[in-house]
Amino acid sequence: MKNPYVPQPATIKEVKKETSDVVTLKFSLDSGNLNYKPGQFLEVSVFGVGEAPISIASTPNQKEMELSVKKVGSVTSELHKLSVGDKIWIRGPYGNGFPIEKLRGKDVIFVGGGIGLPPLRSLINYMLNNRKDFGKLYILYGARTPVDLVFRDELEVWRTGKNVEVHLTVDKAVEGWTGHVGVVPNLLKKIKPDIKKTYAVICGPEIMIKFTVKALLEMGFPENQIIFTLERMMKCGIGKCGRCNIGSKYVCIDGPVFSYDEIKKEQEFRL
Amino acid sequence: MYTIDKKHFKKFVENLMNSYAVMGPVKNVSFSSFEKISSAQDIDLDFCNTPILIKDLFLPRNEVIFKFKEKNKLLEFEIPAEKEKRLLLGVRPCDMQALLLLDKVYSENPEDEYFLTKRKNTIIVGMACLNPDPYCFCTSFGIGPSTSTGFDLFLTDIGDKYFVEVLTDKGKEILNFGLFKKSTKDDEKLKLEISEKLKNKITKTANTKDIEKKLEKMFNDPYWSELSQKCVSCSLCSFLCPTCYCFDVVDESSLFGNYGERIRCWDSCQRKEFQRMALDHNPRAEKTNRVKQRFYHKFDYFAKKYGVLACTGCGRCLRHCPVDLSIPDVINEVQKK
Amino acid sequence: MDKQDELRKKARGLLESKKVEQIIGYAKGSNSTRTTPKFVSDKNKTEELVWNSFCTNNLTSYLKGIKNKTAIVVKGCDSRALVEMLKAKQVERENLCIIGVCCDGIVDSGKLFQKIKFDPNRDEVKEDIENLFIHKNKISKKDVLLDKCLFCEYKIPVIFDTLIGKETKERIKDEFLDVKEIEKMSAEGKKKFWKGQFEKCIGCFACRNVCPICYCEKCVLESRDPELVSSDENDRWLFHLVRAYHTTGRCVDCGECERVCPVRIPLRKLYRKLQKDVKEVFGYSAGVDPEEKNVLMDFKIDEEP
Repeated sequence: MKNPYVPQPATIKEVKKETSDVVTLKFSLDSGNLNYKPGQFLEVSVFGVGEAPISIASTPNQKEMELSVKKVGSVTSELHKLSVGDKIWIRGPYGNGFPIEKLRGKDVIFVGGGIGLPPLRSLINYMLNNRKDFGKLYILYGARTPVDLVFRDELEVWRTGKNVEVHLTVDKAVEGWTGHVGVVPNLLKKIKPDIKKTYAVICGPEIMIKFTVKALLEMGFPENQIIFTLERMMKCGIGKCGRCNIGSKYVCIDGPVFSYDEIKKEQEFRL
Repeated sequence: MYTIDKKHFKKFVENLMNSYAVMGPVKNVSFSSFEKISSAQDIDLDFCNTPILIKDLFLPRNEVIFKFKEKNKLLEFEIPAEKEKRLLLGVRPCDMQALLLLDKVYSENPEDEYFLTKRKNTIIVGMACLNPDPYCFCTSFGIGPSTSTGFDLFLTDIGDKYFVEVLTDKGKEILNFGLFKKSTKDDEKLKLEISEKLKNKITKTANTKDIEKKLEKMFNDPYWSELSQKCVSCSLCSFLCPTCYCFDVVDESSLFGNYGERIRCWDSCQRKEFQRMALDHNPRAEKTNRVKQRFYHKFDYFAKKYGVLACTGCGRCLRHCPVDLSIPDVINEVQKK
Repeated sequence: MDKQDELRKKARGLLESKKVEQIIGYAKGSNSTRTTPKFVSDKNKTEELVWNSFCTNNLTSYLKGIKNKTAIVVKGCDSRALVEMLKAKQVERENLCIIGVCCDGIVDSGKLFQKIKFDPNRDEVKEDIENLFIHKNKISKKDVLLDKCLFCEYKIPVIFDTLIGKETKERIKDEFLDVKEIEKMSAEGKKKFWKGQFEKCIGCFACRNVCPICYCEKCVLESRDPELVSSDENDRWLFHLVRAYHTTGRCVDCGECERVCPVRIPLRKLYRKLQKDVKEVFGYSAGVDPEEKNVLMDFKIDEEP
């Protein structure tokens, strides 16, 4: 039996500072490769401190893996101290990943907030690499202020893509920002999707997700075409420690990706 | 099926001790707990069920998952090896049923080798419960004081001897350690009579028929906030519950983090901080939601996923709850709604 | 009118006159030897309140941070805890209506089961001032009281807005005999005794959670978010000794900690040792006078060091 609790080592190849509190780590496993899907996550260890579940930001066909880490606690603070050549210890990949099969041939609206963009990026890049399998892509993304937007360069590259629309927003404008100001769900007003063949994929703070879902429902989106990732405090990542549950669903094994019609059945989840 | 005379029981235990680490109920000053015995005398079978759980022997209160040590800039792991062959003597049906529930969770992919190795290396000999107390309600879950399901060997006291049921190959091996005789028709009749009598000793009952459906309908009922007012979130119910398996994982290390241990320890969904995330977002900050979680997990969610209710009526929560929050009474009240 | 009727009448009156929004008292429990804490805000539900020899809980721990007008039922020992909570400003006096009940002692159901075989799920327990009645048996209450009730000096609550019942027994002075028994032991003997006790501890923290004067929002013993890990036996000692010292001079011996311990560690022996010391050194007992300053949190200018 392979022990699922013991992490394996990887080496950091690149460290990119995205914002004041977000850093993207690029690394490759010391031995072997991880077969993962967009939307899955890794449990990242810092020995002596603990573990944190972090969504994979890279796409499966990429040579190295990437994680974007926001500094919010003891483990993530330690991860921010890593530099090229350092070791990073990981377990995974865990979680169900995005339902790519359902999205084939469809238009997709990506709605991301703050640190919610990295897992969406994994799926966006996957779709751009398999462009003919997917329809129009709308990328709606926002953060608190312009300096909190992650993957700024990539957003501009996406904007130039065929049949791709990118809309950005910030909660609070600053000098020099000429773009939209307001919360992310408001960006939905700027697009005119063909709802019958469009899925929405949302990732970000839970409150943003809930407001976005409400707005999509008002627009007439069917519940099964609304997909989002949810977060809960995690420890084992493999459905044994009983912590990350929402009703009868475990975010680590039944999620983190859920469709609204599915998670709605859990009465503990309320918009 | 077999019997063993009580006068041969002590020798049986002594023989077992030569081959296994025998653990049995040992009387502490005021209660019994499962401990490794050093002589057959130590075993005290005059108890209902032990406050300290046999769950502790498979999912320990604190367990080292691995030790880590930095050596030449590399990290070395040491995973504790579980080699001891143990034999538990005197386990009650309620605790065995609970262990079967934990089996379901820990043998699901990916398998938890810490738990499963201990299970594989342990033989469990059960003993019918002669003196259930007023807090036991095992009969509400289709089991009784002499239910032998899940055991390797099961003993029922039928007077001057024990009636012995052999249920697994491991159990069959144990027959070699004592003077067992084939049971007679009279023995079997007596055993059935006694089993019935024991069931009738249980007077606390919970009506669990279709409880999941009932619970589904009343998720937002004010009953829960009223009930949870008296709960003090002490989490004693989880710590004493043989079917509770939630754990926390914590690293303990030397000052510079270059050697230490990753440990898992029991935790409880009743504690306020259980689901608290970074930036203080806590979906179960409200006490009502935590109390609800206990009932819904045990009588709805677990049942939906594994096909069986996550309670065996051992009565420990009811016996020890500081505010008398009674699972059977709540179930009965829910049924009336 | 017996105490239970008096209590129900009083409670109803308080809710009808809207003097309070809720009443915290006792209701019938899961069997005839148990009561359970009850929160009543509907004046028609005051009939569910009970008063008997099984009203064990110290209800004052529910008052921590309470904001609305509340009436609370307290026995003598509970009222002392309430005094300490008031001193520590854990609850505002104006928000409280204290219903004090004169208590003749609480029955230990464990002792009762030892004395007489009965099924509390089916058999009723009736009582009068001196005795319990089960089937046709009469059991003298004083034979089955909780240990803490055998030496109670506070049968009348020390603080109340209304009093139910009147004192019917003399007080028996507390000589701290249980503490003296351990004091007589050698250092090795004491270590052995407490080692045997703390080994049993499963680290459930129930003793701390039911304690009315453990009100820290973030307990120092859980400061390593969360620190339920104690693979080290020493951590068990640490927990109990730290808690004992943190509560010194404030513990009122309500006995809840010992009552809830699932492995029956005789915690009162530990806490009462510190109470005895405080009494001998400072002549002070906690929880008697809300105006009195806590002896370990105050000093006199002319005090000798």
